[in-house]
Amino acid sequence: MSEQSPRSPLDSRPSRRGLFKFRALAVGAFSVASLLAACGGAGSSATSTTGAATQTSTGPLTGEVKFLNLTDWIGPHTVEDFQSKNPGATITQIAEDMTSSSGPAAVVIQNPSAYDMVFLDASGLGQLTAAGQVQPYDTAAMPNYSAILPVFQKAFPQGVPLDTGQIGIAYRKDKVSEKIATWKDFWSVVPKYPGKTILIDYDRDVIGNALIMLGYSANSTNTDEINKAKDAVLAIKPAVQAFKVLDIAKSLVDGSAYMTMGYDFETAAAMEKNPNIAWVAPPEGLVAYVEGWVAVKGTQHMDIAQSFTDFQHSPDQYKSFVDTMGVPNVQGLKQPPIMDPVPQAQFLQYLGPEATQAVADAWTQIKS
Amino acid sequence: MTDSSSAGAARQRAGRTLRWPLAAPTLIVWATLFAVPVALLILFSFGRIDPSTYKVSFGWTFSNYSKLLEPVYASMLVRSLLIAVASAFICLLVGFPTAYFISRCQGRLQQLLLLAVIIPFWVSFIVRTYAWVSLLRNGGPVEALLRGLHIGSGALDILYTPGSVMVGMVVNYLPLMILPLFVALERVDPSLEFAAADLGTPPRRVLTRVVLPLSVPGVVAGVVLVAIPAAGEYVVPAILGGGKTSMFGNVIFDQFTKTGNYPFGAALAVVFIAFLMLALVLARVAIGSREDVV
Amino acid sequence: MGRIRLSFGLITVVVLASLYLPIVFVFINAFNADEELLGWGGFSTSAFSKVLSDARLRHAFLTSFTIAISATVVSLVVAVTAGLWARRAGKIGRAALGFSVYSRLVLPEVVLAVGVFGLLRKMDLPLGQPAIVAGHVVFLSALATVVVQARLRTMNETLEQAAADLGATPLRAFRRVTLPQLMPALLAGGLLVLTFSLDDLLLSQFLAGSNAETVPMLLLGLIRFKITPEANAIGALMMLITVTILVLAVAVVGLRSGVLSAITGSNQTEGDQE
Repeated sequence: MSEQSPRSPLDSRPSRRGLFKFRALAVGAFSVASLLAACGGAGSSATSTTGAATQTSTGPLTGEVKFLNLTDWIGPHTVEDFQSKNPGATITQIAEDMTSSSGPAAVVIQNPSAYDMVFLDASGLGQLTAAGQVQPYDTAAMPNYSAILPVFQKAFPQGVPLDTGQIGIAYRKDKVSEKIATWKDFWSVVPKYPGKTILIDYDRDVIGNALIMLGYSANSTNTDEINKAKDAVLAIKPAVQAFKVLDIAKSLVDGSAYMTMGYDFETAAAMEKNPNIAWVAPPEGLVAYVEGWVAVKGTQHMDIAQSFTDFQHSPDQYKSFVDTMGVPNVQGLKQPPIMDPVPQAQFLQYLGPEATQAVADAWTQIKS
Repeated sequence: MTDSSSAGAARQRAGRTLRWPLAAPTLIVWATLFAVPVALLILFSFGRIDPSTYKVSFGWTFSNYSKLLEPVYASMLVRSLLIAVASAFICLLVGFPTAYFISRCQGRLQQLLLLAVIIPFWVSFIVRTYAWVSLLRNGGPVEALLRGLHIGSGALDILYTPGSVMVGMVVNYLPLMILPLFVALERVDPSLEFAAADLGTPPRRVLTRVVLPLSVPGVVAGVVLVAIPAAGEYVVPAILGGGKTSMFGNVIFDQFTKTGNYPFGAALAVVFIAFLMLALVLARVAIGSREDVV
Repeated sequence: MGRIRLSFGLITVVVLASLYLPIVFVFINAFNADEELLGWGGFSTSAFSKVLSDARLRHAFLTSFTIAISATVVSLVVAVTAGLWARRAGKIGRAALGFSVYSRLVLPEVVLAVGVFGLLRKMDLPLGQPAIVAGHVVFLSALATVVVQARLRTMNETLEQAAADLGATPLRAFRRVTLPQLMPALLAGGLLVLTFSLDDLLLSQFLAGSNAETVPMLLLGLIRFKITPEANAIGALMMLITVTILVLAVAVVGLRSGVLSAITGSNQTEGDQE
């Protein structure tokens, strides 16, 4: 029924049917890095298709697009520049509270007519797709879409990916005497340094890495496994200083934390400030994500959404986004090596309603 | 209802005809935006959520309440109440001397001190709270200050603990404790204190035996004003609790915005209201039936 | 009492210091050139110029003030009518009013927020500015009622009765006699309501939907990720505005009669002071 038979593991469509394939994800994830390496030059070739005149529709764009987005998670001048180019179009951003994988999609599902676009990770996209609330982009009409690496295009079907990343281990070599190479190491070292560990404040990231530690898939839909992962997190919680959304690596720089489960890109920036910080991508696997923009079903302004999304991916705008945020990009632009996906990375997928609820419950308990 | 009872003067009739139109705004606000929402929450709390469409189906399941019996929620509940009560108590402990001191100052100085207590309340709650993250962190200004005063040594290690949540609560809510205490203490006639002192009562006993009992209404008002918002506080634990010292307000908030589980969030809210009503009844008993104290 | 007075004075100093420590810190960091705020990176006003030129923030300021002013007007209307009602009402009416005010004051904000949110969603009513105003009014009108009632209780009714006896319509008597006497309470109550509304986060967050963004909402979004000089500059600006309003109001109505009674909800007035 779907014309794209999964070539890459990232391609598993987040449909109900596709759910059962997620467990195979860990096995085949190796192809990401090789694909990335193969496409290394995509960024430069993309510059030939400039961001000029992307509209295929006739007449000027008019109307307001409501965009549920992380605050400032966008090129620093993208909205302004787009609006001055299209005086009839307005982009209104609404602050998104993205501290749970299912939250933002749930907000849209509960009130779809209120939004035109939403920023989601692949899991949230799957959730929104399952609810039938995604309006697919006509990517053929978006000249800059081709600048995006195919792996990420496929990992983010019907939406347009913006950035990616991995959640691994970072620690201060000068403060932690034990060697940390695996998640098992991490779980056993954390209690030895009470109050010196910061975990990321995102349910699937933490539970996913705990699942990997236990030998399961980060995309497990098995409630028993999810509950075991919850218990594993609760076991180290007393030694955890905080769950934080961002600014995690800052604590490594100033020494208020010795270990973190956090983002690759934050760690990369921190490593430049403090050479004692080490990054570990455990060989047994680590959580990774692709996230991007999704148009909401029933939007009256698909033309604007389409044009605006394409504009964000025009070379200048996209480069200034990547430079400002320092995040791993999806266009194959040059970035610090730890930000390149590793073969064992397990990209998060939608788990289906029951497992999603199980993860949400587990997270509520972890945070309570 | 106008033509009932005493005919009397024109102004009285005018007063009566005006009564119900005057009552309307308050009653409408109360009924539509207070009573109905609370009733709806009670209804929600017995409902169920469809995990894919997030639609609430009403029913009569107690599963949301039985879920609350799980140890994590029970300990969260106890923690919320403990933090709220402890914060109120600390506010009282430092607020009472402050209020007493201000109440015994004169004229312009008193006005100035009062204003100084009030002004921080007009400063963005979020920003004030966030400032404490930087202030309380290890190696931060507070640690340096304490070390400079030879009060503590070594790392402060307080940020992202229930301790830092309480610091945030106490500092943010202190004005709400000091002001009612001030009002109560001001009404205590200083001559009573002088009389007690003249009779040879030691100063400390004057405070505990004369001043304190007379300021009980202020104490109760202050405790209620601090403890209730503290128990339902969202911002302070979210910012200073490091995402692991969740309180009632956070868990309710998250059920509605993050997990989309309205029925469970509603059950939490209903239980919260029940606890508060109990606490308020106790407070009212303690204070008598004074109408003018919030 | 000397020793006790001294130690109480010391505690007062510590209390004031802890109240102002974060505020001073916010102001300092608003001028910090170090974007990461890891240390003092030198003096810079770039955060302010960035903040002032930000279209989204300007919009949020406008939204915040529109909501706050509407909430203030509605709350005061509710409060004044409630106060006048209380003077005429019998025992049952008074009890009903007391209960409605008291219950609205003590209901935790988060419960109110989810309740009103649930109701609006259930009824398929739109979220946005009017919804936020409605949410704010629930709590703030109760607060304003306390202030207005405190004032009304100390007001002498003879003047109004005289006006009525002389043939003034109730409306005219209200406008010419009652209202002027109520003015200090209206100013104080209005000020309270305005600033509470401007600073509110929870209700706004729930009731905004996709149609409104207030300054505290924007701030929380910003701050979630990183505490920047800009966030501090926004805080400092909001602070300057609200404190200016406060100081102006204090100058107009005086501290005791207005602000103090407003916050404590006591019936403290000039009358029983001087």
